[in-house]
Amino acid sequence: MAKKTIAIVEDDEQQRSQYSTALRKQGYHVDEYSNRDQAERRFSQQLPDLAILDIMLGQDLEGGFEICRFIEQIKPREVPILFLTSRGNEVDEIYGLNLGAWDYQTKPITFEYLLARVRSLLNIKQGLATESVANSSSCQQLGALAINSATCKVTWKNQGVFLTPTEFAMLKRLLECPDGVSYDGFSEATRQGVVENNTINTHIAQIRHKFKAVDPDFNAIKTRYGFGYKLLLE
Amino acid sequence: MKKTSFRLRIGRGPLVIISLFLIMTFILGYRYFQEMKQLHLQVQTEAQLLSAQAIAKVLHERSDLFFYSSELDSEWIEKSSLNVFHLRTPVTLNGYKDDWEITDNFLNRYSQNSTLYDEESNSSQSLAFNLLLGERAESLYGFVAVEDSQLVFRDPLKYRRLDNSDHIRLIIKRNGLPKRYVLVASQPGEMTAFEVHEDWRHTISGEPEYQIKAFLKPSEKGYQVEFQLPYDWVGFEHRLVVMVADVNDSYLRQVETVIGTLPAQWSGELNQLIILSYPLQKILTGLDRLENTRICVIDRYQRVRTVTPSVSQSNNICNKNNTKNKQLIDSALAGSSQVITYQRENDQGILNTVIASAEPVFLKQEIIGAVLLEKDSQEILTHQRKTLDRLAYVIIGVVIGIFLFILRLSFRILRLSSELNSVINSEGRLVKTDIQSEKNAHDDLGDLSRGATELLGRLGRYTHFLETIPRTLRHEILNPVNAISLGLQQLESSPEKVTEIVKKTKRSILQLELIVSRLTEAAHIEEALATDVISTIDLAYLLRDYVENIRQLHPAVRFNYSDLGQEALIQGNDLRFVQLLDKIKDNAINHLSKDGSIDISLNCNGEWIIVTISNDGPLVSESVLKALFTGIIPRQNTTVDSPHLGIGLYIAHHIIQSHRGNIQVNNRIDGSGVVVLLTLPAI
Repeated sequence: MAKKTIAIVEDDEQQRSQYSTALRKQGYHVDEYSNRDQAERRFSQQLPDLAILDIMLGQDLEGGFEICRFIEQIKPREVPILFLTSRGNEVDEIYGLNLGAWDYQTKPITFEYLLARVRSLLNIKQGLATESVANSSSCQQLGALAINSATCKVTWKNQGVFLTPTEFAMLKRLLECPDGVSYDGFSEATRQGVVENNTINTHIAQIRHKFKAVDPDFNAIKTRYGFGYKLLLE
Repeated sequence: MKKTSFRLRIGRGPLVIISLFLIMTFILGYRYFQEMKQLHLQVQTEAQLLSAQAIAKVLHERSDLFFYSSELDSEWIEKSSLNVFHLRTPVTLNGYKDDWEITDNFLNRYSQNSTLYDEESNSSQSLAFNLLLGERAESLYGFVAVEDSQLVFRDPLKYRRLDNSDHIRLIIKRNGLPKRYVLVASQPGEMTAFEVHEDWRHTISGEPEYQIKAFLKPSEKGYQVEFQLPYDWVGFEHRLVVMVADVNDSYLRQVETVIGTLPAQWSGELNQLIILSYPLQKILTGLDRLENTRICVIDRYQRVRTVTPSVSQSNNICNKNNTKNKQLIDSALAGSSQVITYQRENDQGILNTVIASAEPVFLKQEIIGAVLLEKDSQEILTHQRKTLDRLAYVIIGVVIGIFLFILRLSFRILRLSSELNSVINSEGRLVKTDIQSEKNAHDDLGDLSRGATELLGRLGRYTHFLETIPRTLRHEILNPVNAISLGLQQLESSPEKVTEIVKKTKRSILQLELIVSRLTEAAHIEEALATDVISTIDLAYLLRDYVENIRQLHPAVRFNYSDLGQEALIQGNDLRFVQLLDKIKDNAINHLSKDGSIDISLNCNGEWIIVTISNDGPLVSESVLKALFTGIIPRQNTTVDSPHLGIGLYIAHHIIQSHRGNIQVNNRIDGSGVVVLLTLPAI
């Protein structure tokens, strides 16, 4: 199988080389770009299999968002885009995800976690592309909800719901804990380090939004004020 | 300079517009009144013509009221008529005319062309007299003002003849027979009357006629006589002649000149007395109540038959000098009714608009007289002037009011502006966040002032936040950085403890991350609040669920909750409100005394919903209470795991503000802890 191409757009040279080194070690082909011009010129010829974008590229404060928009214009929902940025507020995150990004991670991030994310995103892409036969061991079903951990595929009342890896992890956690998941619990499920409650709230809002797109009456995720969320399936 | 132009700019526009508006109103008002005046005049003119016609109608065919006889020689009647005026007040016989209340215009003057006898036909002596006749209370009165250069009194001791001094002669037709009387005086004062023979020389009875009273008073030009005689003497026939005989030489004592009230060609005839007609007066009585209206009835010989309200008050309505009225009467007597409006000076010398109308009175086809009506339109003018005056006063008042209002407004704006200018000092530092000017005003300026105070308060909080955050940050960041540094040094010296050191270092990094995360949260709170979805939330349900969950989350802490027992609806974002509660709860837990509890309660006070969160624990110092919500609170005791940046309450303040509520932190009155009070508008 051909090597997957991963594009890294990051203005800080030190971080860029660290990430690319780590990814190359995992057998990926890595293209590095330090600014928007370079990246867009290349992407207009050929799109990578996955793109890791920083948002602030030197003086270009919204550079990452612009590249994301550029890619989405060429091939919407085809290239997994992972924002990796120090801008960790909800407004930016929602904006990024709405642009079409598959995932939004704030720095600092461990190599381990980054590699896991990359793998997971590529799996999802693979899964979407091949519509692979469900592996019974990685499938969970509860009421109208069915999830496949291997491909990160989710269906609600037999309709596919596209979730980002973070959202998928959170939903999976909700499915595993019938009493509800606390903010700390979600924090562990999504990534390491500090995750603000507001970030969790944002993710849940996105999940609800995506479910409501296929079922306007969707109301299975209950808020437990001050604690977290709970899945309530009939 | 800048301030001046600012002040002018505020007032000029509205002032000009309002002034123009007022001037327009004034002009329109004036034009309106002019038109009203015209209309009023027109209406009055028409009404007056109708009145004149109505009065004339009443008098048609009443020949009795006009002494009309078609057989009389009209010229003779015109010349021989003597008007007898009705006297409204008693007259004292003293030779003065003051008490007659009739103006000199009504005096009849007789001079050379009425000479009955003249000793020398070309006499240089000019004898003349003025006569006025009146009646009152069964008496006929006469006033005779004689112009005589030489006054000669009677000398009864020397002469028995009655015609050898200046004297007055009267001929009265009594019971169809002419009777002659002479009024003589031997000195100024009372005169004596005698009935005399035709020669005017000797008395018939030798006795004076006491029923005739007279009084003589010498005057500058000669002498004046007032006389009184019983009215029934002139009786039914109303015939009388008055003559003045003049004696100038007190030695010769011969009558030199006699002038009578009839021209010489009719000597021997008697004048016709024209008593102003009572029946006519009665007919017109009701009409004299008309304000400013005068009525005059004239017979075909232009003799005044009656005047209302009275001769004295009638302002010369029938005066022959009044050419306008004369023309009207002439045309009425010629058979045409007419109405005219003209300007005339009144007694006070004020130009006055007069409406006059005349209407002929008929006996069959013949004109026997005319009715003349005259009315001042003074009241129209007075009314108009008063209204215009009032309008002008109102406009002036309004202009002054507006001017004062604008002046006050510009003064207030200036004061506010100067205070706003002083908010930031020359170095650009914010020196005060509270605007005092217009703070309590209830208008837009008050809103502006309060808005500025709010804005400055916010700016003050930012400034304070920015000023204090580096200091606090250095403090908080240096700890984990120091720990990392120590860990690395330790790693160099004792590499065998790598696991333990890495663990410690990771914790320090987590600490740093947490600080950054809190800062991010604080920095983006307003932006995040702006994007929140607002919906109706039930605080009762939210708090119940919240307390239940935090009990699970913090099993070691005792939470007491007192419910409202009903819905408590507010507008807001539930998760954001929970974030606010979390901040307060975390703070309460941080400061909770050992074995203490946290009390949460929900209350509703009509329009407001009040959430109280209080904890047992140490009190907050006054200085900290003041600095609360401004950003960073002075560092107290913190744990390594939860850095105390004090921005929790800063965020809480922003959230409560976005919910249009208010947050207050106080120490409990009993000193056992701290109370946080959230007040939110209920829906």
